[in-house]
Amino acid sequence: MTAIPQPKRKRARRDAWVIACYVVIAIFLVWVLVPVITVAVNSFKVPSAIFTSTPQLSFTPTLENYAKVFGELNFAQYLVNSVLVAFGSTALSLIFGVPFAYALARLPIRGREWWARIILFSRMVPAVALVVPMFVLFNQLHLTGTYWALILAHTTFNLPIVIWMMRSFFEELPPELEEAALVDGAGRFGAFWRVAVPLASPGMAATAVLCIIFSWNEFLFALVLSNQDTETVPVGVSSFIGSVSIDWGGSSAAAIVAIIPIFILGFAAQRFLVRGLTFGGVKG
Amino acid sequence: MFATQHRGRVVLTAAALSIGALLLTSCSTSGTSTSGANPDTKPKSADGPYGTFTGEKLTLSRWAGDPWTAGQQTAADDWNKATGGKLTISAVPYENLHDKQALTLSSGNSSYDIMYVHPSWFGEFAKAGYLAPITKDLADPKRNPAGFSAASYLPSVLSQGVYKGTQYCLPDFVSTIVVGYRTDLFESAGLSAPKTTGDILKDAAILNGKDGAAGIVMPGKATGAVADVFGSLLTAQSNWWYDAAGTKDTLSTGAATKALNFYTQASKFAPTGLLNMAVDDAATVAAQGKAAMVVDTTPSLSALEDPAKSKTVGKWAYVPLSFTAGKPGGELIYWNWCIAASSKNKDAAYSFLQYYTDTAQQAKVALAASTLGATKSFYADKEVTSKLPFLDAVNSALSNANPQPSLASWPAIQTAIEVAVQNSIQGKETVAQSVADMHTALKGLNN
Amino acid sequence: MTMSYRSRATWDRGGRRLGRGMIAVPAILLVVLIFGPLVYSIVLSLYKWQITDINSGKPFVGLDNYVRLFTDPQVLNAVLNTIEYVVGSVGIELVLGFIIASALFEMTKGRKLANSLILLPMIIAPVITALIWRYMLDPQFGLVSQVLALFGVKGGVPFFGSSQFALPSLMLVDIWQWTPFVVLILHAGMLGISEEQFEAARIDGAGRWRILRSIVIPGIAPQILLVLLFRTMDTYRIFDTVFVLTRGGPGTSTETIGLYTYQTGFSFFNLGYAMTLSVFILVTVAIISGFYLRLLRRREVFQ
Repeated sequence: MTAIPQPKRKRARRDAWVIACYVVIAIFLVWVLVPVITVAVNSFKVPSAIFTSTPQLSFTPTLENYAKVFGELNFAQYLVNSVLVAFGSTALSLIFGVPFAYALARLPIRGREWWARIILFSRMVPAVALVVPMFVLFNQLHLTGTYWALILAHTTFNLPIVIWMMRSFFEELPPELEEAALVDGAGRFGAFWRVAVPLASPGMAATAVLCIIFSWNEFLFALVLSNQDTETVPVGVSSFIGSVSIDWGGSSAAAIVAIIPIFILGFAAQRFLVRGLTFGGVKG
Repeated sequence: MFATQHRGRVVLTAAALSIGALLLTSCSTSGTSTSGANPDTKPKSADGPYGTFTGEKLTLSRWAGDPWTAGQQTAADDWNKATGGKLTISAVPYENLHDKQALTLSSGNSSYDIMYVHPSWFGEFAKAGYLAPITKDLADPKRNPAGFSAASYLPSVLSQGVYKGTQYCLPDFVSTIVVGYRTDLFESAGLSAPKTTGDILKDAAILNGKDGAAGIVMPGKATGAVADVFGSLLTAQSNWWYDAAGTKDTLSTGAATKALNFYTQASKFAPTGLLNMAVDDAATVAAQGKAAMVVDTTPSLSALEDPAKSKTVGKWAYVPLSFTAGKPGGELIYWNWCIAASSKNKDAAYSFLQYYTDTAQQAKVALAASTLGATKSFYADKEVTSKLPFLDAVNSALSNANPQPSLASWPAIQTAIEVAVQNSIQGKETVAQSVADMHTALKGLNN
Repeated sequence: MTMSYRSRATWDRGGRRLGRGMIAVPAILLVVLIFGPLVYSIVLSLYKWQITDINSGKPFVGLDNYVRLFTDPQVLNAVLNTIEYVVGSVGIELVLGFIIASALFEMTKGRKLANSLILLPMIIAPVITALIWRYMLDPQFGLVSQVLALFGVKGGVPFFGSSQFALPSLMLVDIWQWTPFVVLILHAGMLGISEEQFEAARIDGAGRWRILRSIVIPGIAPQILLVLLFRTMDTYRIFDTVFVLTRGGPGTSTETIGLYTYQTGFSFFNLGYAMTLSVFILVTVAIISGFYLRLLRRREVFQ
């Protein structure tokens, strides 16, 4: 946009405009980042430095809160559980979702649009409506309290995401490549497995990251379907927010521990975040 | 072509296999071994737990929150060391505890052995048969210290764990609502200790705004504590929400009006944001020197005396709530620890409960979290009680006490009552309208 | 690429067969994990199931729960609060998001970095977001109150502690968390507008506002609709941040339909009615989404 040469007077006005834009973005970034930074700073404070009437910038940092989070609160276990559940449900969603997405994008199937609508509809079901029936179901299968219960529960929202995102990635691939594979003697499955899947693998990686993020943050299923050995990070953090006790330092440290891995992943998948969050833009 | 079909089938088979694998791995849940267990073994040390339970795995379900969870974890570690068992604590946020327990127990293959059962769902669980009776264990001399029996507990508290004549639970954590006031501020303003709610309002008006402190602070968020404070205000007037059977509204409009007038008036001298303060927020405000008085549950008040959390350590004195001088009252808040009927390790579970609710362990809890034990001998332990600043206030408040409601229908009623109190404080409703709302809410007793 | 008629037919036949196979297993998973439980919920909504009496059976009450739904004053209050919340937050997010996206679009340097930092709030779990804002807006010790105190506003503002401020404060939290989402999507939409269009407009001497009105806004209309669709769907069901921050209070001033459903089922143990409420949420969300999807399709964005 800025590459077009313009008369001098106009350029001066344009520069003022661009500066204004930078200022707007700077203000917005402050608004976005300050709450997280505040909590991060609090996580290094002792209570007396947190409870002040004016912002306290100079203080002696302490690792006490983190020691507590990893010590008596055993946050390492929550992290391990979250990793297992997030990776498990992501893997499961990819295994089942990728072929489904490919079928929707490429194969001559009946009721294609109906499938698309059903998937979108499944994104609208409130978790409250699913969690109790799911508990009853998993109980009968003796799954409650196992990692599988959480993995399967998280698949309910990750599978639709995989289907939507991968469908749009497959549709972007030029069909000629797969047709060429047929000419080379591959079957339809060969075209999918040897041509489409490798070509769509960057998209698949992005989808996986998104699924991990969603699973990492999920709370209600994780709470109801877990037991003390399988509770995930949000459940661990929530134990700080009960009505009975308040621990600003400890909970801040726990929050930061929960945010860091997901922020790193978010950075990695940033380019694809939009597509994933909008269900592939409902095609966009 | 054939290759394609073949591969398609491979995928399907693989999928089917992986589902099957999911089911299989999950079915093999671990059973508990009971080898090496003898519930009658004498303790290795004085005040130690009874029995050896080598290799037995137990789970305790409770709400999350420190110092209480951490304190119990320490007790569990000691118990594990002494008995060879392995007790782990499963703590979830209090607001999710009931659902988690009810769903887990209803499944029939619950992993819980010991549960913290709140009064409001004790009746439900006992009726459903989820709890194991402990009458026999409590009377067994081989499983209890010499002279220890049901009679060792405060009868008014122990009886809260009885359903239809059977003892199900052992109590601890006795507490109530009391008033804390800043002796330094009162002294410099020339005020004497507040004896009645009238004094409290008068003093709050005088002290409000002095030294950057509000006149008074108390819980205002609808988390149950507002109902606890209100229940204490009713009890101090010898009134209560319902009759002994728990089916009839016995709320006196006069008493409710006086209680609500106090709450509403007091809120005018409270810091900003009162209506979003839970028990811990109110205590934090007081501990940071931002209020001259505080009405709160005693466990939360422990923050006032904790140097790590408080800027006002040693500046507090405590009195019970009373409308008429010399006639205090308070809601009896307690915890019930129960054994799950489906537990495979009931002997071990009893061993821990006896150990945990007895005086020696309760003394530790008391010093860490400023709550009181439920055994008579606890109160004879001068070394501990001398360190509990609000012991006298609690004791005199509980001389006239109503136990925290333990009705299945209570949570919904409680929420409506708390909303009514909030509406009055905000001036959205008159006191009379809010009291009428409470009566309406109490119609839910029969649901 | 040319293909003989014969191989084309084989190709299609193989495709149909493979398609069926590829759809079957995930479809079973969807049925077992989503539609099965959903149907069970709908069935439960026809029963009075008080979980406090888990053994006493569930009497069939037909449409009683639905009759209650339409006569329950708390539902009306909750729906009105929810509508205020949805319209307020989504509206502000859209306007703010548009401004930020436009500013981002003008940036030449640091755009990538800004983009990465902006996304932070929306990848944070709702439980943690609530925790962060509980601390930020604490009237005594929160950063906002501390800063206000520097400017002479003593005693703090009762953000969550008064009926006037509580719902707007909750919206503020939503706006903090989700404006970045709007920014990313609208910005992506703006990047998709072809450079020729801008150039042609500039050659015609169109001003900044003209370009905005006649090129940018029509160009990102699909993205605007998308934002509306997804934000409406999610804000309408909001309950986790509300539960942690205000629990519906003070009074019932912040009780949303999602929170009321959660409390009915999980705090008051009335699962039958809670399921009725979730069916209500699902149906209303589906209707609203259907409306947006129709608009989207009219713009030929949605196949």
